[in-house]
Amino acid sequence: MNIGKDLVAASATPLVLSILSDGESYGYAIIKRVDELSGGELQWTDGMLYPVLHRLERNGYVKASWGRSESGRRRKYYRLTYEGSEELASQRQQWQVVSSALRSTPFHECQLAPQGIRPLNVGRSLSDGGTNR
Amino acid sequence: MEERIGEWRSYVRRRQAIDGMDVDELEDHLRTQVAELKEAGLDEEEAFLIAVKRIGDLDSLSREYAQEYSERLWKRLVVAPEAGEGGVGWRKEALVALGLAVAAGAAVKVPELFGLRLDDDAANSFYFRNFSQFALPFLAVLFAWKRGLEPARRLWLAAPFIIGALMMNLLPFTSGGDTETLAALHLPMALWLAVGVAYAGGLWRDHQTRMNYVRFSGEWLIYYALIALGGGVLIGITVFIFGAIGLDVELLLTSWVMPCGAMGAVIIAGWLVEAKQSVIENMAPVLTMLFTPLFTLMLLAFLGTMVWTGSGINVEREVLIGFDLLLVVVVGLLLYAISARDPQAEPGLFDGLHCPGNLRAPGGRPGPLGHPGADLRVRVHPQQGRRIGREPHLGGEPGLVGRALCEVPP
Repeated sequence: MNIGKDLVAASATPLVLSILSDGESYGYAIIKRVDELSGGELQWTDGMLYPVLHRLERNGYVKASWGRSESGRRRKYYRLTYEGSEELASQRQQWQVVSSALRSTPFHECQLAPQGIRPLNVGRSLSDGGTNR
Repeated sequence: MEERIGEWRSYVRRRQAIDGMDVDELEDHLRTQVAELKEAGLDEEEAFLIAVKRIGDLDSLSREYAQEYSERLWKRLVVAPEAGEGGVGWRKEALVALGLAVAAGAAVKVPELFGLRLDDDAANSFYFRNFSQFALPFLAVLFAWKRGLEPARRLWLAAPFIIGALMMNLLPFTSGGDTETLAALHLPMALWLAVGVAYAGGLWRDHQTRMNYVRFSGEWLIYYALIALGGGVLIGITVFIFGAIGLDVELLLTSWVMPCGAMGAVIIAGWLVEAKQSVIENMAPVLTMLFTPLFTLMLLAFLGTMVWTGSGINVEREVLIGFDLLLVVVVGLLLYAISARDPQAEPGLFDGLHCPGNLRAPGGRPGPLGHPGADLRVRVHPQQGRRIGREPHLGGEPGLVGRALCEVPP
């Protein structure tokens, strides 16, 4: 399964916030955790997490501080703020609405046989009364 | 491994949207990933490659950063610490630089205590001979301090300045003579090399550091020109507004503000180049790119006119001194252009443009040119400088592929 780019981008904020609600963490560990939680289905480009984190920091949802890793390197840790946990709660609700809405719609297999890609002739299809579609 | 990470860092740093702290963060990520991959049994190189790949394509990454930090794309000229390495000592460094700038400004007023007034015609010759001695020692001190030069080396570093001062003031120069002019013009160049030793932290034998110094020199020049421009506007406006209330401040400006400011700016420009490198970093190569063709054109036009009219160069000392300076400019442009070019880039049209600049030393032999650009090895023969009709010339020889070497014999 390949999760679309837009969905990955949209889900980044609630995912990061909920991971941080477990406690302070840093970029690499967050990515590992996302990987674990999604069973490897949610693939992020590692670097892209950081602008997201910085945006969350600017919005006041997380607080960043420089610390040290086990090996003594400088490492930036992120912590959820009160605003962040509020945001997380609201995002969770939103996602639940979307997901329950999706689940409650009936899902039918498509009846049409898959078609090869061919150039769409909009003008003709209109004059044909849309039979081409 | 460290080297690879260093390279990667400097590559990322070039993106304006990603600043020092962010690079630190990404580097930590990279290292953690590499360590983990190595534990999984990959060798160092593979681990590094995969980790870099996973961080993602830098173009789209810096686009993301740019969206988050649009203000970073506006180059901030305000003096703020370059985040990341060396950020801690920044304030201290600023204070030291400021202190040295004030000292340089004060130094130019010291001779007045001995009756050598700046606006006095009799003292003109003294100031002309010594103008480089007021600021450059302080610039050297700044770098000696910054690079933590060993005490023994510091003593050695003082030598050229002391010798310069002694020579300039003990030798019997004729006021307004050519020898005096030559000496006054060349002393700053010699002292600039001495500052270079301090800049390199004593490691001036390393050609990489030397190239850095060439780059520094170019950027320093631009900063200095900018400060001078700003200072000029400031002074003009000061004269005007004080003139409006009937006060003549010109004397104050010419005897205090201008000389002290000019000296202090030498230090401030030197400090700024290092503190706010990224501001000029991209501008300097553009300026070189702009002026190299113009200089080449001017020199070619000059050569053409000389051949066309059949008039040889008037071999008079003043003229030769002028050419001497022209050569300094050409050498400066050339060295700077070489230092600023991307070592990986193929020699292009722009590199070709340097060749005529190389060929044209009047009276000197056209240098046997090797491969332009990347393979250029430049030798400067300063000892030939003073002989009439024998200007220093540049001769390129084929060097090692992909290395732009610059060798200036001490």
